[in-house]
Amino acid sequence: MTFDPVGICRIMNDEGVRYVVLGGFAAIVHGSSLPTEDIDLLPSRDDKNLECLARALNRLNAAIRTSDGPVHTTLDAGFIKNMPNMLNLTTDLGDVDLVFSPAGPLIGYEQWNENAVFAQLEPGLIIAVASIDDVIESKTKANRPKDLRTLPYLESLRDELRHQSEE
Amino acid sequence: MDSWQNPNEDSRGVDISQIRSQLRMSVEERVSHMVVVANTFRKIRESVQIVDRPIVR
Repeated sequence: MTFDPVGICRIMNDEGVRYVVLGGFAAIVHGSSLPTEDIDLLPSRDDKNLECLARALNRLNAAIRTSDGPVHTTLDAGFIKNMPNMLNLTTDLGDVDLVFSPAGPLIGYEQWNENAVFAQLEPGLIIAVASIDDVIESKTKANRPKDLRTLPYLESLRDELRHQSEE
Repeated sequence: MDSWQNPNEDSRGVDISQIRSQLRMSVEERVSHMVVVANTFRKIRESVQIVDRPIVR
């Protein structure tokens, strides 16, 4: 399986899903060179959006990612709505984590989307990406070793972005 | 500065020249580069084998 995050976003946008990209892939859009092999998406949880999301996931042949391998089940809007915090998926284009309650003070899609920046991944493909400050704050609050390891780099990236925007 | 230190590092030990190099790329270039790197790492992990030390005659 080849990781194709652009292809994942293409299908999400094609189905009209409203989401914010978080985590390592968001950091890459801002300028990070730290590799990641999955994409974290925070979708809006309204019913219509979850239906769009379910259609996109079916096109991606998504299955639940477990340590024993993928578990295929019906990923419809009702199923996704019942997931309280997150849903880890594997798809034909790579791993997708649906994150409904990211660590940090921001709650849900609306608050993350308010601070989001918009990035074009290819002509006509524009995505909402969590701000670098929100990515850093969330990773700090998550306090997991894997997040803490990335913080010095992301903080220096943020400082450099600020420095360049002031020039 | 200690002799082992990279002169491009900031106080966090992060190489600013690498960050600037990333920021010189467009988002499309950066994402494309990351995808190649991620898939290269994946291929290496899938194909790499630890082997016995070769006997040098």
